[in-house]
Amino acid sequence: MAEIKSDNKWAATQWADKAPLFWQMVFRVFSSDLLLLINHLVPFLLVGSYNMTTSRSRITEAEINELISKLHALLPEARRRGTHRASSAKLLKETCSYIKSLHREVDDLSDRLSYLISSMDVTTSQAEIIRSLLR
Amino acid sequence: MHATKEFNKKAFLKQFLLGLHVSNSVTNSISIQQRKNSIKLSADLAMALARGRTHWTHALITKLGQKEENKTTLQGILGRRYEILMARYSCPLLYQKVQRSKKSVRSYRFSYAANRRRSALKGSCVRVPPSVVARNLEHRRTKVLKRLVPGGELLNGSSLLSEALDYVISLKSQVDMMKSLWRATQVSSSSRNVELIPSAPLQRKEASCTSK
Repeated sequence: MAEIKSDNKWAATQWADKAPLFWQMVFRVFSSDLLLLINHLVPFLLVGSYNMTTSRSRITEAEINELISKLHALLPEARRRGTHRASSAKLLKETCSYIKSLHREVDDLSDRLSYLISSMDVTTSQAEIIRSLLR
Repeated sequence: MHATKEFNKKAFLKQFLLGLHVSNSVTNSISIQQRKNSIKLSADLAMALARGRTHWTHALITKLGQKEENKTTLQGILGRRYEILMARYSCPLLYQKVQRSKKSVRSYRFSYAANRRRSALKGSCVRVPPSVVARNLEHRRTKVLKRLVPGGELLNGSSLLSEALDYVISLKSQVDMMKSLWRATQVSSSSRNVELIPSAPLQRKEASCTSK
């Protein structure tokens, strides 16, 4: 019994010495391939969950209508009388123009902010930060 | 269905101000153009981080991280999180797939046009399957939207619409926050310049805050 135990211990120590090296080698050999594989799969993993098949899009047509109405509600249209103005081409064009105008506003605002901040010194900007955090 | 941006205003403001502070301290004597770019960068980053994990935030952060001139500012803003975020969001094959799909779309269009030309010469009707026609039409209509929404080139149909909706909501709140920040900065700087009684501008500012 003692011999078996000692044998096991010896085997255990042998394996314990070699195991990390072994796993390191395995990992090194497969890691490059694994990483490549994962890197290759990630776009499919990401995109696959977002692409909808045609059968699924038929089931969720109510969702599409809801989305369209929500977009419609967001867009700053001055003349919003009936609900039957939601032709998809018009909606898409207006969404695109709205996004472009928002981008332009962000540009303009960052311009003004950069000018203002450059004319302020450090202490005033810190006070301003504290004040706006209190809002 | 979609989480409203009401809860994320604080997160956006915190992140944006942190970014402003970092870009201010790092770059003290540079041109206004560079400062504007760093402000825009920190605003976009704050918007994407405050929104959470959606497709467009992923694509936006990837795009921001890929440009060479942004890396130092990003490292300053994010600190230790920079490596984690870049490891999570760097996916070069994502954009290779985009280019591949552009080529396939071009070949679709080319074959469609060639088919039309051929049949126009022959005088018969176009022999194109209706699914291809529908797909071409949809692609032509959503081309601009796909280019505007970050990561939009990979999406189709209703997912593109939902991502665009989310992006529009976030953009609108980003613009609103920046406007209010600018107004606050303007009020404080003008009050400092005019050198009024200290209590008066504070009262005016508090009144404007509560009215908002």
